[in-house]
Order: sequence, then structure tokens, then C-alpha cells
Amino acid sequence: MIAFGVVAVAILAILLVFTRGLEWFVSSTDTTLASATGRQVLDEIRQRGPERLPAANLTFDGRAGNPKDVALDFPPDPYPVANDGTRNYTMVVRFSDVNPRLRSVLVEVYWNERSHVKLETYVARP
Amino acid sequence: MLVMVLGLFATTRGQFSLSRNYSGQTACLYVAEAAIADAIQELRQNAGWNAGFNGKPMQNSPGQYWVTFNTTGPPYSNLQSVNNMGNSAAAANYRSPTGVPARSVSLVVRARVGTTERVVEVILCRGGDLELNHAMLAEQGIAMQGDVLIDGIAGLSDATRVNANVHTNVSGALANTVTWSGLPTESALVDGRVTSTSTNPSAINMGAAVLGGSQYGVPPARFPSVDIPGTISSKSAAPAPAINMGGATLLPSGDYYVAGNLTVPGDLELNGANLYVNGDLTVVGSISGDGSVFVQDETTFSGDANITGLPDQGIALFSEGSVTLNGFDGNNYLSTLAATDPVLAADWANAQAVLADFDAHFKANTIATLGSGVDPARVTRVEMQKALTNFGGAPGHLGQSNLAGKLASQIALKPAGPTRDFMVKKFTWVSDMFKGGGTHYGGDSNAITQWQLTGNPGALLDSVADMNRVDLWGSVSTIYTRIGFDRLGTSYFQGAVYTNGDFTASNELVIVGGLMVRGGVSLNNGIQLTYVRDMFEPGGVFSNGGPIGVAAWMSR
Repeated sequence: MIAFGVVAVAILAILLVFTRGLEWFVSSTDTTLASATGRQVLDEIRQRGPERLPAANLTFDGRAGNPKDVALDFPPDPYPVANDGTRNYTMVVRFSDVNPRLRSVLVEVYWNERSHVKLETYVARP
Repeated sequence: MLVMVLGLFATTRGQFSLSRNYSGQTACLYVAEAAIADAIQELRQNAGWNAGFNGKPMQNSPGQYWVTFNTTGPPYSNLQSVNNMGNSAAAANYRSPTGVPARSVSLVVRARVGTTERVVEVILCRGGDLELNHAMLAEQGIAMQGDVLIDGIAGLSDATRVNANVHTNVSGALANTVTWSGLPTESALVDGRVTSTSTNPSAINMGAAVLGGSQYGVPPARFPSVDIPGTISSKSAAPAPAINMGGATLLPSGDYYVAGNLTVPGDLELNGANLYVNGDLTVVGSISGDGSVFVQDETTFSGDANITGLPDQGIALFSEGSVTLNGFDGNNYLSTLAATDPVLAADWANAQAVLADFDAHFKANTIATLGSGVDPARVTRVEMQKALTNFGGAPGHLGQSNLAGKLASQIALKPAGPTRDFMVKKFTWVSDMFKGGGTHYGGDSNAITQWQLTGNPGALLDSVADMNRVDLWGSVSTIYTRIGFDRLGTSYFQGAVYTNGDFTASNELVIVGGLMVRGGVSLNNGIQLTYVRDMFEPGGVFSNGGPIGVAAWMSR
């Protein structure tokens, strides 16, 4: 009986460790892909320069189905959703004023309700 | 089994740490770039800014950034920035005693997101992000008419050919975004690529020689942003310039501000000066020298009678409104004079013939043959000089003598007017260019020194060839191949134009530099645009008054 208990605890511990490892594996993949997706969007925004960005402080929320600004083609692809074949990475792009000369661009990439990465930088006002 | 599971645990934990680190490093990079953008804005307000940032938080995310300036001299830490914007010599930083180039800032940013830190280092200078890879970059349509030549050289002192590309960012599917039209006797040549963002297959309608090929539907080129009104208003405390109402206006080094419209009745020459005009700028003559001009509204000026070819000279013109650059249509003027003056007509025809032969002779030879005392090429070159300028009346090539000098004298007797004055200056300049260093300047080295000090290329060919100054041959080539033997009325502009309006150039002009035009471009009747690549590199034409930007990223 004691031996059975010891073996059961050992198997339980092993299963817990195994499960935790799998969670880390999935999470690390999601973090890497979400960062790369956010980077793709933010680099394209920076590359366009301040003249080709929306003038107003706006939020484009891919989770809420906010469409692109077609005239400006903004936010750039892959907004609103990137898919790696197994999972959706949904983006939120926010603009806000930092001061009269600088604007903040925040890109959030979600892969579930709670988990996301945030990338923020500043661009000059035109 | 336990060992296997623990191995899996360790591996996945390691991968998890790596991905978290990658994510943190990525976030830190953007925080660092935010810090650079913030520092650039501070420097644009005050070029001497050295207050730095001390853990300044990002607005909408957990990042922070630090910038610390060294203001006390050595020793230098590798986390310290150095502001050398106000000095014309290189300064020390932690890398070396000359690690910070003249008129630049070595900016070291430390960024932190969570527990991840990243250090980024850049060099900032004026015009740092105004890199121009095109001879002409426009947001709207480009229309060319009449004879057009667009070519490129590496630098004013390096005549090595580079691509002279033309691009318009016109989006959508518009046709005819880049066009050329001309008479059967006229031609156009672009020694580079012609591209358009428009997806219409008829977006480019050149009907002319495009050596690099043309392509439509290419991505828009990045157009750097320059806050011209903000720059002008930030200089409102600068003194007003002293305008010479009876001749050329020379502005020495410094900043000058004009509160409204400014009309300069003659030529405007900058000697390291920055002119800020909060209105229209009209220059009846030319704008030349070395410096920058910021204009709130429209800019109108004329080409210059000469080109200095000095590698460190050029005008950076920033105009919020449209820019109109006028030539003098000197060929038409000479044709009119020649119709009633057979002596002038003969001298003009002979001058064109001699200059055409010179152009071919110059291009067929090298400094070694043109400068060697025993080489027939040098003998022919000197004969051509005698034909064009005054060597005591001795006849030279085609039995002619002092043609340029005689034409200047004859035209000076014609009715007064701006085109007459321009043509007198032009032929006087041509005459000076073909003088002899020993005969006219008391020595070849004197002529070279004069050119380096004043930009007057008198006897430059003769002196540089005879002294075998290979280092100056590129400048000689730049100047002497742009005389325009078939268009002796050609005028010049040496510098770069950045306008948020349209750009129009008309009537026999050579533009040595480049064009960045947010509106449309119109080139009419005999325009040559020579793109000079070095002019748009750090320390180039924007180094006096251009907006501050990133010139280089340093590896850390």
C-alpha cells in the first residue's frame, strides 16, 4: 500500500512537471510569434514616416473587429489578425499624443483573452 | 522516466526564458527608438541640449529610458552621450578621441522593460535622415518637356558615375505620372531608373532613353519629414540680413530671420549662413555658396552664371510653398542678337565649335595626357584655351583667339537687361576657366588656391592638369563637362531642393544636387539634373541648417 502511494505521488509529480513544461513550450512559441508579428506592424508604421499616419489619436482594435482605414491602408498588414496555421494573433494599434512634437504608437498582440505582448515607440509629428 | 521528464522540463524552461528575453529585447529596442525620437525633438529645439533623460517612463507601457551626457570631459563612459553639434571639429567619446564627428551628437540610450535592458548608440547630425537615393523624388506627377538630361556622380570631386533614379509616389492607378514630351530635335536621357508607385501600366510615359529601365507599381519611397514652419519660427529672434539693394548680397556665417516677404534684387550668396524667411522669398539673381534657406511660402530664384564645383559647397533650400527656378534662355537671346550682328554671330558659332571639340577632347583624354608637356593632347588643349581666352592675341584652335572674352565684350554693349548681364557673366566665367595658371595667375598653385578659397575656377583645368593634381581632377571634370557647349546660355544651381509644394525649373538650367518634392515636378526647356550622391551623406549639403536625424547606428 505504501509502495503504491509512493509510486502514485511520483507519477503525479512527473505529470505535473510534464504539464508545466508543455505550457512553457506553448507560451514561449506564442510569445515569440506575437513579438515578431508586432514588430512587423511597428516597423512598417515607422518606415512609412509620420506623414502617412492617421492625424488623430485613434485606436484600431482587431479584437472588436475595427476595420482598417482604407484610404491610408492603415494599420498595415497583417492587421487585424495574423495566423500561423494553428492560432490567431489579434492586434490592437493605438495612437496618442506624448507632447506637441511626439506621438506614441502602441501595438498589442493577443493570442488569447489574457495573454499578449506590448510594443510601444514614439514617432515625430509631421 | 524521471530523468527524461526533468530533461524535458529543463529544455522547455530554457526555451521559455529565451522567448521571454527575445520579447523583452524587442520591446527595449522600441523604447530606445522612442528615446532617440524624444532626443531629436529636444535637439531640434536646442542644438546644445545635454540635459538627457533619467529613467523617463514610456506613456502607455512599462518601459523606461536613460540618456546621460558627458559635460566634463574625460574619462568617458560607454554609457555617456556627447553633444558636439556646435563644433566644426571631431570630439572625443569612449570610442576614440575623434569618435564624435563634427557637428553631430553621439547618443547612447539605455532602455529597460521589466528586467530586460538594452543599450543603443547612434550618431545624430543635421540632415541625418534626409538621405536621398534618387536624383528626383516626388509625391506627385513629374512632367518633363524639351531637352532633358538626368545623370549622377559620386561627388563634386569624384566624377564616378552613379545611378540617377527618378521616382514618384503617386498612388492608385493613375496614368502618365512620369512623362516627357519634346520636338523631334529634342531628346531626354535618364541615366538611372524611372519608377512610379501607380499601378497603371501607362504610369510612366517617357518616350525617351531610360538607361536603368522603368517600372510601375513599386512601393512608395520614404519621404523624410521636415518641419519648415517650426524651424522658421524657432529662429525668430535671429537678426535680419543686410540686403544689398545695388548688387549681390553676401551673408556671412550665422542665422538670419525675416518676418515677412523678402525680395533680393541681385544675387544671394551664403557663406555658411542660414536664412529663415517667414513669407515669400524672391531672389532676382541666383542663390549660391554654402548654407541653408528656409522659406514659409513660395520661393523664386534664378540660375547662376557659374558653378564652383567645390565639394563642400551647396545650398539646402527648404520651401513650404512651391519653388520656381528660372534660367535665362540665353541661347534664344544669343540667337536674337546674332540675327542682326554678324560679328557676334560668327564668334558665337566659333565658340560653340571650339567648345564642342574641347568637350570631345577632354572626354577622350586623361589628366596624364592633358597635363604632360610633351603629349600632343596637351598641345591641343592649350590651343583650345587660346581660342577661348586671351593669351596675348595668339591664335589657337580653328585659328580663333579669345572668343569668350570677345563675346563678353560685345554683349556688354547691348541694351541693358538681366539676360544681357547674365550672358556677360557667363562668357567672362568661360573665359576665366580657360586661362593659364602661369600666364594669368602667376603660377598654377595660385590659381588652385584661388578656386579653393573663392570658388572661382579660373585656370583650374590648366593648373590642375599641369600640376598633375589627380585629387582635384574630379572637380575639374564636374565643372568643365557642364559648360554646355551647345547651350552657352545655361545657368546653374548647386545644392538640394526640398519643397512641400511644386517644383518648376525652366530654360537651360543645370541643377547639381538633387530634388525632394512633395508636390509635382515640371522641367521645361533644356534642364540637366546631375545627382551628387555625397551631397546627401552626413556632413553634406544639409550639415548647416538641415533637421537633425539619425546618420548612423553604432554596433553595441
